[in-house]
Amino acid sequence: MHIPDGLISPQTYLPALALAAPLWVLAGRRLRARLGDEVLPRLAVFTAFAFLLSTLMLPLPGGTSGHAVGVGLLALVFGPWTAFMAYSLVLLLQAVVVGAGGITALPVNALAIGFAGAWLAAGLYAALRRFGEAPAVLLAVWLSVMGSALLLALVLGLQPVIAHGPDGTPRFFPFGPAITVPALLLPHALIGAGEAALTLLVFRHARRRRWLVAPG
Amino acid sequence: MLSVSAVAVRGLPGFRHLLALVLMAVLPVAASHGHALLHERVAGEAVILRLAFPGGEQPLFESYEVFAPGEPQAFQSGRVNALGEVSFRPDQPGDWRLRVISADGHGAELRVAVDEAGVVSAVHGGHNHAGVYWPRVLAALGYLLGIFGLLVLWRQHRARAG
Repeated sequence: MHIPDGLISPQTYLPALALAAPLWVLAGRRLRARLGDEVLPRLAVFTAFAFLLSTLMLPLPGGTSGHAVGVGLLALVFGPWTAFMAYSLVLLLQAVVVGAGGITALPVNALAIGFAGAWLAAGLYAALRRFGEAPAVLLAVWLSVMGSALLLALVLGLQPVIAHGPDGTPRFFPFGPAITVPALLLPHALIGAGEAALTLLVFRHARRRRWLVAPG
Repeated sequence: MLSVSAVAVRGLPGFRHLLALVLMAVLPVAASHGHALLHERVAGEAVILRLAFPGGEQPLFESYEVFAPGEPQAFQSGRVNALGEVSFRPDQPGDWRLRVISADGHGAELRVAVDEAGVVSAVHGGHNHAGVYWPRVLAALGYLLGIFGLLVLWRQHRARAG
C-alpha cells in the first residue's frame, strides 16, 4: 500500500513531515513512559510480525497483488501511539533495507497507514466493542485498512492538481482520484478482510494471555 | 493575381471543369502524403532496464516516462513491455530519469547515469532485484529485532544506573 519515492511532490511530503515529526516525538515520549521491560520484547515480536505481513505479496484477482498492513493488530494490542511508532519503524526499514516505499514518502505513509490506520482501528474497536469482540475487531481492522487506502489514494490522486507544469502536465503522478480511489480500495477490500480475520485470531490469543496494553 | 485567374476561369467554362477534375485527382494524393509514416532503420545502442517489484512480480504494461537530464518534460513515455522491460536511446550523456507508475501508487523513479559513449555507467534510486528480496527482508527483520534488543539493554542500563 505504501507509496514509493518519486510519485509525490515536495508540496505534499514536506507538510507531511512537518506534521509527522511532532507526532513521532510525542509518540516516542509516550512509548518511553508506558512500556516496561516485559512489554518491549512482546512489542518487538508483534512489530516483526507486522513487518513480515507487509512483505508477503498476495496474488489478487485481476493479475495484481497486494500485502497486508498489520498496524491494526499493533493498535489493538498496544494502543494507537505505540502502534504508530512501531509501524513507522517498519516503514523506515522497508524503505531503507528492503527498497519498498521511500524516504521522502515516509511521512505520508506513516501518517496514512501508521497514524490514521492505528487510530481508526483503536477508535472503531472502542466504539463497536458493545456489539461483541469478533464483529468489533473485524470491522475495526477492515475499516482501518480501507481508511488508510483511501487516504493514500487521495494523496496520490491530488498530485496532478498539486504539482504540474505550466502546460498542466503532472510532474509526479499522472492519475486523478477517479482512477486511484478504485485502484487502491478494490484490492484492499479483499486484503482488509483477510487481515481482519488474522488479526482476530491473534488478538484473541493476546487477550487470553493478558498481553493487551491499556490503550494510549 | 487572384483577380486575373478568376477572369480567366469565368471566360473559359470548359477549363473550369478541367481544373476541378485535376484538383479532385491531385488533392487526395497530396493529402495522403501528410498521413504516410515513413520509417528508417537506425543503428544504435539502447538502454534496456528490466523491472520488478520487491515481491518479484513485474509491472507489465504499466505507464512509464523517461526524462532527459535536466528536462521537466518527458523525452519518452509509454508502457512497460510484456517482458517487464523499458528501453530507450539516450541522445546525450548525463543523469536520465525513468519513472514507472501504476494507478494504485506502486512504482519507482530510477536515475540512469549515461556516459559520453552512451553507455549506462550506473543506475541509482532502485534496488537490483535479482534474488535479493528475501535476504533483504531477513536483514531488515534482524535490524528490527536488534533495535528492540538495544532498547531493552538501554532501559536495563538506566535502571541499574538509577
